[in-house]
Amino acid sequence: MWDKKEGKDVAPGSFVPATGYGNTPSHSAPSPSTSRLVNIGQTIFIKGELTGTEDLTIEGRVEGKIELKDHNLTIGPNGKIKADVYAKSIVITGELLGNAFASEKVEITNAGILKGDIVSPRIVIADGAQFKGSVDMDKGNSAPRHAQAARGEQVKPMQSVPADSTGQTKNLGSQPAPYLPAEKR
Amino acid sequence: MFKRRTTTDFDPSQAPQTGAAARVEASHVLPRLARRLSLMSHPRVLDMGSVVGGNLQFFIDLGCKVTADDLLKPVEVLRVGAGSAGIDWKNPTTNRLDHSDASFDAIIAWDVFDFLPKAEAKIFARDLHRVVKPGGIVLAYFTSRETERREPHRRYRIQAQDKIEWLPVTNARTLRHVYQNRDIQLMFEGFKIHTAFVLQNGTREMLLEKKVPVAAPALISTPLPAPAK
Repeated sequence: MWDKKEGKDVAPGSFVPATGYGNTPSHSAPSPSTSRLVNIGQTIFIKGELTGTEDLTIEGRVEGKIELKDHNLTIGPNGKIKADVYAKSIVITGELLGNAFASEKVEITNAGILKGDIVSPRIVIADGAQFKGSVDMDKGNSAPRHAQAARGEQVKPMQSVPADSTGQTKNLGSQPAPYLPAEKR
Repeated sequence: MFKRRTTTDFDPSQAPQTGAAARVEASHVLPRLARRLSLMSHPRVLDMGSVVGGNLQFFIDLGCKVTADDLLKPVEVLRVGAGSAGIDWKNPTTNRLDHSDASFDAIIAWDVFDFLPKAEAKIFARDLHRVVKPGGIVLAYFTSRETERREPHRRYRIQAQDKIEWLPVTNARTLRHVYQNRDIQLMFEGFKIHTAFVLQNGTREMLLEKKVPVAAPALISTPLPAPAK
């Protein structure tokens, strides 16, 4: 009953508005590999190409390129990255100047700054986040949802994402992508 | 006794900073803009307001390629007078938007212009004219209040094609200027007012369309017909 639904419940090709669900950034739950999380500390400055096959948290500075295929990258509140970033999931709480390419999700928390483009099937942008750039969501074959409605074709009216009794968003499965807060808590 | 309740009665400083102060208004221009964008092939949209993920999603669902560029941040910097936010504010000829010419089919400006100093607003409008394609649309909000006063910046969140929620971003207040329709026409030289509505809260919603340059008339190569005798 109280189990928190995770981001995996949301259909690909969708934003998950971070606010409206209580202003708390919806960080991913720690994966089993999180216990082996590597941290680049505040005083560390790396210039060059950073590659790896495990999750990484950066609190320091990195300039160049970061590539973590199939793994998660977290840019901590003190992290300052000047690089193009490739990862499975990217959480930005610090500052990223560069493009973010994620195979799963890009999340910018309310304290996060991203100046660059996003290429990801799912994006979470908290209200208050600083974002300057364009968004490219690989949505596969899903047709534009509102385009039909806007053209006057018969579609269901747009509604808020329904919430269950726990206040959590329901498993949307293959439902249309949400762009609305479910419910103010 | 029956005092009309308007948004001007609302004092955000007395409300919590987030959530509770949100208000929802009907939008008359957004459905028109959405319809227009939906008829285009992969239109490019620039959202100039405070970043809201759901708004970007709305336009992505219309088939748009969306770019976000939060101009309230530089406006805030301008208000405080610190730094330059990457823009040479003192030089009126420099571009305020670092986007190439005629690169967007629509720009969502929300109420950014109300919070810019009047001279700066005109420079911004000129720069908007540069980055919008001919025939492109600018969605902008202007207050229709009679007097200028300090207000917090607002964040607008699209709830549906005809509903917009707004809430104050911070408690910091910036002077909100009042532009009459004529001021807007002068500011947006090169645009025509496509649609305008006044919302219940006194905000004017406008769609401004960039005029398509009329091709110069072709030189008459055929002789004029002889006048009838």
